[in-house]
Amino acid sequence: MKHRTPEEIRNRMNRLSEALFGAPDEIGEEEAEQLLSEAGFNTEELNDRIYKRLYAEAQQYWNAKKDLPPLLKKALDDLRPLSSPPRNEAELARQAKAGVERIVEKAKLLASALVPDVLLTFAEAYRNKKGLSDTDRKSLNTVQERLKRKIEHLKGKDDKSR
Amino acid sequence: MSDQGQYPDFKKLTKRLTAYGSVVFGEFSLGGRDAVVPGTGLSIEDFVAKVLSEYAIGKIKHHKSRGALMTVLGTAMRNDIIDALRKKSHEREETRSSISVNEDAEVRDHEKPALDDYPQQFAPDPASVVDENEYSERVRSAVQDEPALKEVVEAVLDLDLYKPEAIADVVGTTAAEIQNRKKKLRRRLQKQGLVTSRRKKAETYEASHS
Repeated sequence: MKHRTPEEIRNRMNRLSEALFGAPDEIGEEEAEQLLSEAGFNTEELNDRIYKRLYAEAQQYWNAKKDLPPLLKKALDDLRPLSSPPRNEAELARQAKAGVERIVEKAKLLASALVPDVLLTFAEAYRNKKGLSDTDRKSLNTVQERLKRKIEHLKGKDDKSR
Repeated sequence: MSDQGQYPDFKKLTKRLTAYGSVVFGEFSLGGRDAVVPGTGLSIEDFVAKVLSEYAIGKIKHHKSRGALMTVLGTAMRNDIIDALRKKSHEREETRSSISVNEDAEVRDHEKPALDDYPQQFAPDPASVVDENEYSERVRSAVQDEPALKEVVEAVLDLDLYKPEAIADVVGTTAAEIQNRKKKLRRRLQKQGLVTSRRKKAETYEASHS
């Protein structure tokens, strides 16, 4: 058998891998997200860490008073963590938008935890209670109706926003 | 620059490269998110950062003729992973114990090997993971229970077919279906990884002595 160099072996294995599992560009964004979430990666934290490494690379250029290569500049712009102080209005707006989106997401989660999906039933034991005047009964019925409507309204809003 | 002559989105690149890295780690039986190449401490994230940094400072150049940017960077990262594994396997050979064969046999007679004696119990042996025959064996063994995936693996390993269309012809299905099966293979890889024969031996040993 012909003796193959390590490079030839590596190329052959890469070829097999591409045929079996696909080339790197076959992993689209959606699939990447799915794979990362299944593997337990937090993409925001991952971006922050990669940013720090690229920032360290950039520091060498700054220390040497050299311009950053355009791709490195773009990488730092893209991966800049939202927690960093904004450098201009566009960045401020982007950070504010992301902040609001996060709050809304949390509020939605909280709302869906507070308002159950099942049909609500109210304890109506007061209906059989003796000694209640018609006015009391009417008032209690009104309160019950109001509560029901309020909850249905909240639930409707929550469903629409999902 | 990307294929369109514009700068790429580095957030997307990071995401896709990390996902690909996790598939490659599975391919070489290294494990998931927190796994490292044994003896080097290098994680998926380290390899992603290296390749992105090299691209950002112009060490890795991309030109349309070399294919999609993601393929160029992904392949560079994959080569780095293989090189790290291979380097480690050479170091192991160079630092192998100086006990003579006879002494070694004596030790073997007196002490039955316990599972704990396997260095890094379930860690892959760097030499075997970069061996082509071992690689093929691991792939075959990983798909034994799934006929649809087994067909693809046999077409590639036994018939040397690489293009989805050619594999589809032999298997009697469409190229799109072959792409779907490859996607399934990727998920399986990432979830379970390819099990090395070394690990299988360790598991068999554990089963027979428990």
